[in-house]
Amino acid sequence: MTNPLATRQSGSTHTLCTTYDTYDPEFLEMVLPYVQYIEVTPDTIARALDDRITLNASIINSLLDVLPSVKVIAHGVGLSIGSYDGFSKAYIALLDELVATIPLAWHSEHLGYVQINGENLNTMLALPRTKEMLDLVCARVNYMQDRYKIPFLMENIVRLLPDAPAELSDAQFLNELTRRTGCGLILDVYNLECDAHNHHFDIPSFLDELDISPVKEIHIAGGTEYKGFKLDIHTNLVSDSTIDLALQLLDHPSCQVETINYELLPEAVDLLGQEAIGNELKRLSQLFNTPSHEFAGISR
Amino acid sequence: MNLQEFQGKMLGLIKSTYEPVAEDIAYLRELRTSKELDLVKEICIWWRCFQIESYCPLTSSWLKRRGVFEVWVEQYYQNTNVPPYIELAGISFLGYVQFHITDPVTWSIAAFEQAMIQVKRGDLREHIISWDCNPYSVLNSLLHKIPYEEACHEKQYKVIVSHTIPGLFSVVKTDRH
Repeated sequence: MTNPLATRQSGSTHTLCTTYDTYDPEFLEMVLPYVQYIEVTPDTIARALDDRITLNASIINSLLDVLPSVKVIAHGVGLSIGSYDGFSKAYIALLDELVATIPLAWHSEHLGYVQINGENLNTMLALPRTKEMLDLVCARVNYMQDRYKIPFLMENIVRLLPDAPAELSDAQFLNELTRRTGCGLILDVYNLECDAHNHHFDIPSFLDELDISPVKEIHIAGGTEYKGFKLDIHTNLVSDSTIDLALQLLDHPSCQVETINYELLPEAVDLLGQEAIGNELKRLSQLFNTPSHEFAGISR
Repeated sequence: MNLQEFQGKMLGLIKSTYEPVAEDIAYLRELRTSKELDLVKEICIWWRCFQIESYCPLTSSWLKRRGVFEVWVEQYYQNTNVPPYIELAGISFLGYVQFHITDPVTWSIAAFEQAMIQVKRGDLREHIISWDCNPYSVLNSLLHKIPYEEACHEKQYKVIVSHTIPGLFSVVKTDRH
C-alpha cells in the first residue's frame, strides 16, 4: 500500500519506542535498531509464584541484557488510579519490584479505573471529569511521584461508554492535573481517533484547549473495528490518519515530546509477524525522523 | 451522587447486577440499555475466553466441543471476582468449573488440568483425580482433535499428579469394574 505521508517527515528529531511484554529475545533483538525506548507493562509481565504475583524473571533478564542500548519505561494498566476506594496494592508491589530491578526513565498509567470495592471490572472505565475526581487523582499522582522519584505520566484512554456528566472538559481536566501535580502526559492519538469515531469527539477543539507542553510521550497503534466501533486492540499496523495526527502534535510550537511509542499487544507479534513489525518500525522511524541504527552498522 | 455511589453503580452495570432506583441519574438508566454497555461486556467476556483458552486448553477444548465454553466463561465472569492476572484467573476458572459442573468427565478434565498447572508451578502435594473414562483416550482425543466415543463407567480410573512422577502424572485402572 502506498503511504501518502511517506514523503512527509517531522522537522525535529524524536525517539521511537515499542512494547516488549512477552519473553522473546529474538523480537527484542529485531526491534533494537529502530527504538531508543522499550515499554514494559508490569501487569502483563507478571507471573504467579505460589499464590503471589511477581515479575517474569526471564523477561526482566532479557531487558537487562540490552541495557543501556535502550531505556526502559513502565506503562501500567492495573493501578486503577481513579477508584474511589483506593488504588491497587498488587500493582504497587509489582512496580516496586520493577523499579528495584531495572532503572526506569519514567513510568505511566491510564486515567481510568479497573476495580471497585475490591472487585475487578476486567475492563478499564474512563474517569468522570468532576472536581471530586480531579482532587482524588491529583493526590494519588503526587503519591506516585513522591514514592518513586521518577517522572510519572498519565494517559488518555479510549471511552467505549458515553461520558458521564462532567464539570470539566477533557482538556481542562488534563490541564488542571498537570498544573497541580507537575506530572507529564501521554497523548494516545489512536485513542483520540477512536473517541472521535465512536462518540464524535472533537479532536481539533481538544488540542486547541490542551496545554501540549507536558506531553512527553505520544502513543500510536493500529486497532480494529467491530460492530461499528473503533477499538483499541493494538494488533495492527498504524494507519496514515494516526501518523498524521502524531505529526501534527510534533509540529506544535509547545511540543516537548520525547518519544513516539508504537504500542502492540503481545498477541500482535504472532498475528502480524516479526518481519511486518520490523518493517513498520523502520517506516515509523523514517516518518518521524527518529534515530535508526539499521544502516549505520552500529553494534549494540 | 458521589463518586462512591457512582462507581458502585458502574460495577453493577458491568456485572449485570444493576437495578435502577428512582434517585439514580438518567445517565445510569440510559447506559443500562445501551449498545455501548453491551459491547463493553461482550469484550470483557471475549478477552476472558481468549485468555482461558490459552491457559486452560484441555478444559476449554472439552467445553467448546460441547458448545458451552462461552456460556461457562460468561457465568464465571458474572459470578466471580476474576483476577486480572491470567495465571490466577485460569486456576480460578478451573476451580469454578469443578464446583458447578455436574458432568463427571468435565470435572475430571478440569481437576486434572488444575493439578498439572499447580504441580508445574512447584506444588509438592500429590493430587488424585477419579475418572469415569480412560484418561489417555480423552487426552488423545483433545490433543489430536478427534471425537471421543468410548463408553465411560463410574470411577473406572484414577489419575495421580505429582512432581515425583516422571511426566508428572500416572493413570491407574481401578478394580470397580
